[in-house]
Amino acid sequence: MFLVNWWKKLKREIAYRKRLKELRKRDPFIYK
Amino acid sequence: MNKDKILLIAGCSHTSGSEIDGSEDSKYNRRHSFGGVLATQLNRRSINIAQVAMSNSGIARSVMNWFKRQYNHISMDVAVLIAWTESTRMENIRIQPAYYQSSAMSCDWFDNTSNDYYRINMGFFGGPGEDKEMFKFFHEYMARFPELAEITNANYVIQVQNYLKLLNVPYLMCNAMHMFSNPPCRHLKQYLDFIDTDRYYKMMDNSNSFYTKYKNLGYTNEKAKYWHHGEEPHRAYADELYKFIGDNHVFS
Repeated sequence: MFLVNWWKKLKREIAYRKRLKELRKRDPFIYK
Repeated sequence: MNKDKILLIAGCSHTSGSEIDGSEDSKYNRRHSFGGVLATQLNRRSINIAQVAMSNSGIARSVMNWFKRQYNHISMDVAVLIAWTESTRMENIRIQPAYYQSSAMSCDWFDNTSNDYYRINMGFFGGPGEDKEMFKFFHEYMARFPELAEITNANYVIQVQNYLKLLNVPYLMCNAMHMFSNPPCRHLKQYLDFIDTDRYYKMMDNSNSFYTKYKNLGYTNEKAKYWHHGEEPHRAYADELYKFIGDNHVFS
């Protein structure tokens, strides 16, 4: 059970990191 | 009495024509931005209140504030152009006001309330002395709940749309960057149903939003440090909007 929860959490985290990267690419604007 | 014919233009850096001449903000940029070109085509005086790095909440507030503080229905004949920005952008309240005028020196009218909010954009991790952890927190929120961000943005659109319809002021909306995911989730659709698409140019077509379309067509601006477009895409987009206005009788 512990392993299943760990795997689910890891999958969620990977999906989140991927999404974060995509969104940063979508709005690359920086201001001073 | 001859009314002053005005095109009020609101949006983010793209709408202010940022970096057309290489500078962050200038009168030249604003005159040659798609809104500025469109104002000339429509024989209206442009009042460009767009600010660099603005979020859609700031854009909506700037429009309503302009009407609250500047509008005179007896002497003015106003039409409005609103170019919505990237929907992930957010604002958070700040106790110590900022001084964003420094990046909007050529703004025709500066909405002071924007100084009361942090500008939280995906590619920006906070300026000097700003709370970096707070920026990180909101970036995480944006990435974990992008659908909620889009629903919030749909509400800004509805807010401004209904406000302008109440004042009986003609307006046109368009997208400068990604606005709504297509196809929308059912929750977002529940809000999109309230938006008047006859007054919104290519609402769901993100690949045809101003920045994305001309970026994909291969336009580059050598003067730009932060990827903003040059004069030619602005002129071409103004032509697109002008055609849409004529075809759909937006301002008549």
